[in-house]
Amino acid sequence: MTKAIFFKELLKTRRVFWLSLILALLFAVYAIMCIRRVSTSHGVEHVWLIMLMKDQTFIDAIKYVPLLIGIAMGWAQMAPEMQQKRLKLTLHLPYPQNRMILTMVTAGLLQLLVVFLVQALIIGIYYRGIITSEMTWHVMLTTIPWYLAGFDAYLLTSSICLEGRWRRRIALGLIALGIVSIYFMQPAPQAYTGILWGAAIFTLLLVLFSINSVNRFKEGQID
Amino acid sequence: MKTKIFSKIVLFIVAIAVMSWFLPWLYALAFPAPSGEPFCSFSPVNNKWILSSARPGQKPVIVVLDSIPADGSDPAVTEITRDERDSLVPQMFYKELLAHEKLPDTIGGKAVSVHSLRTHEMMHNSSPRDIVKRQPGVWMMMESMPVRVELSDADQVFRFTPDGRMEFVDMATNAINESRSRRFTETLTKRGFTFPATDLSANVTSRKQYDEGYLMVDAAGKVFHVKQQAGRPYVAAIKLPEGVTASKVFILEEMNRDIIGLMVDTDNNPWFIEREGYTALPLPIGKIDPRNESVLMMGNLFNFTFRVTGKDCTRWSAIERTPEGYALLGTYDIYKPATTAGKVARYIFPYTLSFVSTTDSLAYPRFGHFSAAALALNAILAIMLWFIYRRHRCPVRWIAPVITLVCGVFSFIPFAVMRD
Repeated sequence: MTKAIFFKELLKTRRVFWLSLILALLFAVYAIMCIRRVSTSHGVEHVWLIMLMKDQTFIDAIKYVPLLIGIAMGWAQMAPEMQQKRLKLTLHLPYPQNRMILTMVTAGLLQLLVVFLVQALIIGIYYRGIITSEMTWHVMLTTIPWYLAGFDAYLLTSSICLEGRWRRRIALGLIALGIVSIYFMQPAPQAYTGILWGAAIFTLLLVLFSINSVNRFKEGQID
Repeated sequence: MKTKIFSKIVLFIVAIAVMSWFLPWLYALAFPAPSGEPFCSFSPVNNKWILSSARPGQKPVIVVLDSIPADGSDPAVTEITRDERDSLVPQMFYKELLAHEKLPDTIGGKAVSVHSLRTHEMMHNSSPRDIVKRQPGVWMMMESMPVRVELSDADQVFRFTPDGRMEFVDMATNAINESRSRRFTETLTKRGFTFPATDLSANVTSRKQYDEGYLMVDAAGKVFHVKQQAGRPYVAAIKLPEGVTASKVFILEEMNRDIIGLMVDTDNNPWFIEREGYTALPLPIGKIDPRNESVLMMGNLFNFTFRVTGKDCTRWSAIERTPEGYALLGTYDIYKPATTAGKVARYIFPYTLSFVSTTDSLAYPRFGHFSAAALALNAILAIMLWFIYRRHRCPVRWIAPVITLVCGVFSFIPFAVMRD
């Protein structure tokens, strides 16, 4: 049954997955092209100089891409469940309710992980070729909060879509806005490195938001 | 059942945390604190502080501080005109005085000329935001003795390896420069440098007159002057008094080359590092914490003025060089007045949560501004919640008011909005 649910979720989100992958790739290539333009016109030393003196990472172009992909994935996966009233049927399957939600959410999270990993690897491998390992890590650690914001956006969008009441949806939307904006408050490189583990655990806890929404749905709290 | 309750608890904790950050942020955005703190200069003409205030929308006010009471009460002041100020602070406004042929030949026994005033000008500015931040762990090294007269941009970076080496990497090829790494490591070891460096300061730009390389604090708290001359290492140890351990250094590359840099020791005492004899001389301006306070230092032919801006107070100090060392000329403290919005906030918010600060470039949750004055509002909101939840049979009937007694408005809103 787990495999079947997993497969169903993959089928549902396959278009968004491929679109997200293409978008992530395009932005990774765009970021690399920007770095190449600077190194071609001013020399690769200029890239080092700007990175070390101006606290720049040259990859600001990808900053909001994971967030956008997370929202799109959450919407594509969970909105049809509510719009086409499929959630009621899904919950009637002979499968534990919480495990069902966890499997659905895991399918989405794994797809996001693939997209984000591909993008991060492309940027990381390119950077490692032109700068030292310390500076490459400096850049990659700067991007992790953006990817965590993408995972959070996915989980929060899912919980909003699975919620049955508009009043609670608005409340969840405002909470989501507050949570996601925290990841973009401090633009300095590696500003969030000290709290990355905490932020990752917090992200995992956000799965409970979807479980809460489904519990309320099952209790009949629907507009 | 357990997951259901746990998910609700997590939802409310997150909602309260978001409110604890969002509401104070929104309040600060709606009621910004006015800026416009006075700027102080120490006059070498009358040996008094001159304050220039320019608040937005108000006429600039310039006063001379005639006397500063020790009890912290308001000082006696005399208002002066802009032209009078220019004559009292010639080190800053000598161009105006020269244009109006008012620049004196001597001030306080010192011969004054545009050249001497200009060559003694010094300026150093440091902010905690530039210090408390994550470094990538590599630093650029310039050539201090270039073949051409003008300086060129750095083409090498260096790092300190765990096995106690200063390793150079060529920026163009991203390859390790073994010969340079060996030369620098050997010279540093010979001079008694303990690897790795715990603090480094340089001004890596070709847009300056000369390059002094780096001031470095080693793992033992000793200070070293390290630079690259014709590709070779120049390393000199700074003589510190017995028992003094350096914590933070700032390099100064000014026209006046007498002072190499500013140092702060582990007890937060400031020192100037002088070129003559490579010695450190203490500065009688009180303690400085560059990781929490902004420091502005302005030097001129007559004196050095320091502005140390902390959370609640800005401390101005003026010192002068004497044959024995540095002597204090005067101090003036400006305390930040509490704003009406700030006072009101203490009655609304029992605490605040923020993720960023003006004193660093890091992001992490920080609680502050704890206020017992908000307890009254908390109690009112708790009673309101008790009234809202009075018909509920679950424990939230009493949990919500109890939490609101502590978290106040931050928990009241989530409990009131998400009561279904």
